[in-house]
Amino acid sequence: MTDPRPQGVNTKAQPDRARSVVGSNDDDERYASCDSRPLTLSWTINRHLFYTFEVDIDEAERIVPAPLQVVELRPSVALMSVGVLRYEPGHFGPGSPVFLEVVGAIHVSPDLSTDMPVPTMTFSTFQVLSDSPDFVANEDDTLYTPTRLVSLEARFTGDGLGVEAWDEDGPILAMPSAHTEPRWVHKEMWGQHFTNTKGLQHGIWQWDGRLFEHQKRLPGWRLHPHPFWSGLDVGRVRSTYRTMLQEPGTLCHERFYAMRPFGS
Amino acid sequence: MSVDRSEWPEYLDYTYDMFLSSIDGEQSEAVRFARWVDEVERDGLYPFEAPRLEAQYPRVRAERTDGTPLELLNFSSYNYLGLGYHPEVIAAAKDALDRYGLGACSSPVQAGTLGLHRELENRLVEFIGLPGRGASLFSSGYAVNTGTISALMKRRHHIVIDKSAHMSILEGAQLSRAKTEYFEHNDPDHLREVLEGIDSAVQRVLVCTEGVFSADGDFGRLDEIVAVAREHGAQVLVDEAHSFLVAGPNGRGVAEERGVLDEVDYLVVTFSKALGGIGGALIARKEVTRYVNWYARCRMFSCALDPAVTAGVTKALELAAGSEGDERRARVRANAERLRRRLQDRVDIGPSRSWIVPVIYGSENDTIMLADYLLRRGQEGSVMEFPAVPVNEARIRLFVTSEHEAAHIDACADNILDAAKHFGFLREEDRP
Repeated sequence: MTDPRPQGVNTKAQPDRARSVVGSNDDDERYASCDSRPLTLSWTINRHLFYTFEVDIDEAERIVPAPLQVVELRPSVALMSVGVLRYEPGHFGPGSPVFLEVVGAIHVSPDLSTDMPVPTMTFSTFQVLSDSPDFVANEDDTLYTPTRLVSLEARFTGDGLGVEAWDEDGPILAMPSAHTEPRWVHKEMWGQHFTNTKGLQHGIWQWDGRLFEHQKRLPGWRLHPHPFWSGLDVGRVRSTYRTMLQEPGTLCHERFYAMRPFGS
Repeated sequence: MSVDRSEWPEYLDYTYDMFLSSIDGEQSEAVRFARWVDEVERDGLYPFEAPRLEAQYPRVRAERTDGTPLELLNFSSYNYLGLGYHPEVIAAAKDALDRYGLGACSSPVQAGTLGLHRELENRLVEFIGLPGRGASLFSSGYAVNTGTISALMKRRHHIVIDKSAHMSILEGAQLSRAKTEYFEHNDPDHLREVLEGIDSAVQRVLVCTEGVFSADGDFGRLDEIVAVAREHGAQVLVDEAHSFLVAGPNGRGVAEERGVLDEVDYLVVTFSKALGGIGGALIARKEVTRYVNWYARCRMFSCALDPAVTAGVTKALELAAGSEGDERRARVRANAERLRRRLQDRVDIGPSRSWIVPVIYGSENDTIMLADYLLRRGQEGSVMEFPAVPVNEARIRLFVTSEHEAAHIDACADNILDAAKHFGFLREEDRP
């Protein structure tokens, strides 16, 4: 029986899980390690829509573990992001299906003593949902994110620039396609993230792909009350702040390096 | 063909927000930021903080931080009426220096108030021309907002701020610890929505906006904003930093132009723009300014404006309020119109209708290379990028003054269009 779990990649870190990842370019030496941490996961994604919202800072601080510092965009305003991702097939062995992820996080200050490119964004992840048992096991085992297996579904708009997502508990979010003239560029970003299911852990991520980002107002967006929000009152989410959209028809890559207990 | 970006260093991707803080205990943000500056300087690209070697003339001598001499077309100083180096202004400042010495050497509430300060207050009130008004002087325009807002607004009050408002307004709100909310830039309908969401039990609500916004160069829709605020019983603060003595039929700002000068509760003006000095003032009901004199902590607990600047600003106000001011206002507006006409069909200048003309080049990654490119061609503008403006809307702001001549404006436009071609932000039809 094959190991159904991660197609995470780094053979030095996790030899029992070694497998090349469909469509990835992890043979690129520069991604092999970061801050002396091995690359542990590499994903290839065919839909990635990422929305950042302004939210009351006391609401954000309520769900972020100490001693993390919530980024204060403006006085009393924090940032909360939601990503909707659809992964390429084959991540968990030949024929393994496409799967979905919805991830929510609050923006927090990075640890700039980490030996890595200056992070574009740093997250405290409050919830991950997926319809893939393999992915959920993998998140739990490798990144220690608070992840739940649900009957996740997503409907992307025809142009691929908007999405609705829901599961058995009901609708989660509905984001319209609102920008008519996207200018696609290749972008590479480095970032950090924190999780707190096994003590406060610090991780590093890297993303590259073709995207368009803007800060135009998105009329008609909707966040529905749902367990996904982990107690965050969506009524206190004020407005959209920044939208990052992967170019439809392209693949992007997301890489994660080994977690470390924060402060170690 | 535009520039090849493929070999550009990674540090060009970094933006201001990325160094805002670090959670570690060792101030790593300072270490990383210093490393970034060092890298940019090492490559001879650092375009910021180039010291001037003379006054803010339309052409100015400066040098880069590595000592490279520069002769610049100066479109990055907001000396809008050129009064910062007016001979009569300099003479007034020198006289005050001789009579009063270098500094006021005391808090304005204690021994720091000079006869010069009273004279400037009186002239400001006289110039605004509204009954019952007083003026409270501060040693910076920034402090007017932080001091006034924090003096007047407290916990359980609400402050509603235009999303594009200046940082000093945001920090004033933060200091006050009032509940702070925001309305979409220059959007009275959204302001109404926000105000309608505030509990009617809240006793004091302050709406804060500006006359001319410094990122876009657009005018505040003050008549509409004031009307919405009044409908909801809110007071209004208008920062006329970039419009005092430049906008309005008599130079009293955008509030005058929009016919609501007498409805603005707190008028904030600065002395560092059209008046060419430093400092600022709150103009409001006399009892309010008297209160702010004492309860604005950054005023009470810091030294009063220095004598030379106070006298120079007073003279500058006298000039700006008279026929010379009218002439200079006409010139700065004509110059701005000339520059906008040269640029507007060929590059994106946003909604600007003022003497601040932004040229939106887009990607933050281009900022340093573009600023360096322009400096090497003798052109200076003031760059602004995310998060101060929306992502992918990075811009060079061109501050136009009354002292620019047609040749300066045309040369500036030529330089900008050359850079636009080189960096690929000319409008489509102009691209080769």
